[in-house]
Amino acid sequence: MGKRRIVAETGAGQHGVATATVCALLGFECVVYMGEEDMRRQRLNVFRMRLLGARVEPVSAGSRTLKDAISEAMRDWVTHVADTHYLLGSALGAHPYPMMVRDFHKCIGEEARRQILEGEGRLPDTVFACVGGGSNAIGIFHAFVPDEAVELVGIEAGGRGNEIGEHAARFRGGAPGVLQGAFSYLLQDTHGQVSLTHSVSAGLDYAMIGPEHALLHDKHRAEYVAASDTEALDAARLLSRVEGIIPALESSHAVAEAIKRAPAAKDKIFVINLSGRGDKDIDIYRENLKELDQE
Amino acid sequence: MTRIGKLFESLKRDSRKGLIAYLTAGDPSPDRTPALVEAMVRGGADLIELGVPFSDPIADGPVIQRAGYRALQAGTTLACVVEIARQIRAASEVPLLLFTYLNPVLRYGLERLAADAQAAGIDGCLLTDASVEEAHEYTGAMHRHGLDTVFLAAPTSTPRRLKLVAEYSTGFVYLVSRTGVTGERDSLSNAVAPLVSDMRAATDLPLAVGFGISRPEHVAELGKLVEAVVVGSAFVRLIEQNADNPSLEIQLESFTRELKRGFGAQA
Repeated sequence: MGKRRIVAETGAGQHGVATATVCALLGFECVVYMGEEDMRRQRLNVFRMRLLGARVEPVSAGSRTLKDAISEAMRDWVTHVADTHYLLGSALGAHPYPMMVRDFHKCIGEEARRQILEGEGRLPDTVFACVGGGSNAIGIFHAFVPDEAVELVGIEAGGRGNEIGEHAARFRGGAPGVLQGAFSYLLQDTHGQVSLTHSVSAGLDYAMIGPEHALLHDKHRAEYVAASDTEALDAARLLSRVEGIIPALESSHAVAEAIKRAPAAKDKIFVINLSGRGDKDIDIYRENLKELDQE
Repeated sequence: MTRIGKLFESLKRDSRKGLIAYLTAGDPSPDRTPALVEAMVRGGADLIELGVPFSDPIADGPVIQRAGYRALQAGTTLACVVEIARQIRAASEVPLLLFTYLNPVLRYGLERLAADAQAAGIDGCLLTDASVEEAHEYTGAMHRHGLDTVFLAAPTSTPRRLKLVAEYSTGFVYLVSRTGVTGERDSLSNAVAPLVSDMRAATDLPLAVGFGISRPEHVAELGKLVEAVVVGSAFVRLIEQNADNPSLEIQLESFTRELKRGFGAQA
């Protein structure tokens, strides 16, 4: 493409760190747009991006989260399109982005499917993944879509309540709409203005779900449920204690749903996509699990 | 033929160039928009673009983003903008173009908007974030109700895209002067001239150029190339800076007149 400058958006900071890493390796200029609210709550990843030589641009518009970071990255991209490529991090935006992002993530499902067949000799009963825009989820689901006996469960952010503005559960309160070039389920008001969202996890805090998830939902191939902030925090704590894995807050939503279903699932095989590790979320865990942080 | 078509016919007949003025409807409040439009028309605006505020205006720079935010805070909806148009139409025959993002239109309903817009005296519609490849249903609804559909063409548009823009546009074609979002710039981009000639090769429709145009000297230069020139952010900034100033209407009128003078003898 001959382009030497990369722009990206990031919510939790994972995609921003990955982009900054690639740019450092290849010697590209790197600008990452990030909502001010997300910069505050994912400080560790902001520092990692800067360490890798990226410029992190704070976005103060709207809810100061992922949606506004994507809008700002798109504005930069269309302005500097001659020398700049936009590395969109989630399965969102205009075609072909959702398809490209799925294809870049589909190795997750291909490897998981191969490993479970090797390890257990059969396919899993259920695959769980958290869904913000939906890149990790579409990545793990894709290889299992033709396996009709395998249940696919996407977990959205239930936030702190059921009112608009308190969650990011698009299948609970959303309706079809267009945002940033994609047509999918969108949290919006009756006049078509996009609603504010809330989630304890920056990576799930977005008003639209990736369009391929809308398709899987409408075809009844995947089921979408929500886990609340509290359920996700409890799940993170449990997984840390019993498995020795500190998960990212995003992935903790998937863990929470698996925990809910586990008592009725003896002899079933669950695959949970632990899409991120919890290092970046330690500050939030400390704020919310104060009893562990006493002298 | 809509008032837009008739405008371009009369411009041609009189060897004149047109000034298209954009403002965000509902900024600073819906009840003030008709008077602001009247002031621009008195100053010589030939066509008014009524911007519909949207929560996520990806094609707009900071000035129009802020205007949209103020308009939404003031309770402006697409239905309000249609009502504003009806009020303007009661007092004026100026051509009115609805300038909007797609989602509020989808929510309102394509067919319902086309019917209501026509009844209110709106002449056409421009969707900033709908690609022409997907626009068939939309153009169908608008054309059934006698409204023009204006599409954007940019310096990055491929020949195939320019052909589609030509095919689906009626009234005129809106050329984006440069890559990027709306907002004032000091100088004009040299991308305009090649885009104008590529578009002329694809259509006989009149052409207008917008994005980044804010001064009489810009208007002068572009007036040599196209039938009409669009000014947006400069008007919106004037409204922002003088929202509480009783002379806002007078200032809008004189700024419009100043821009129009850029066309010189062609005004």
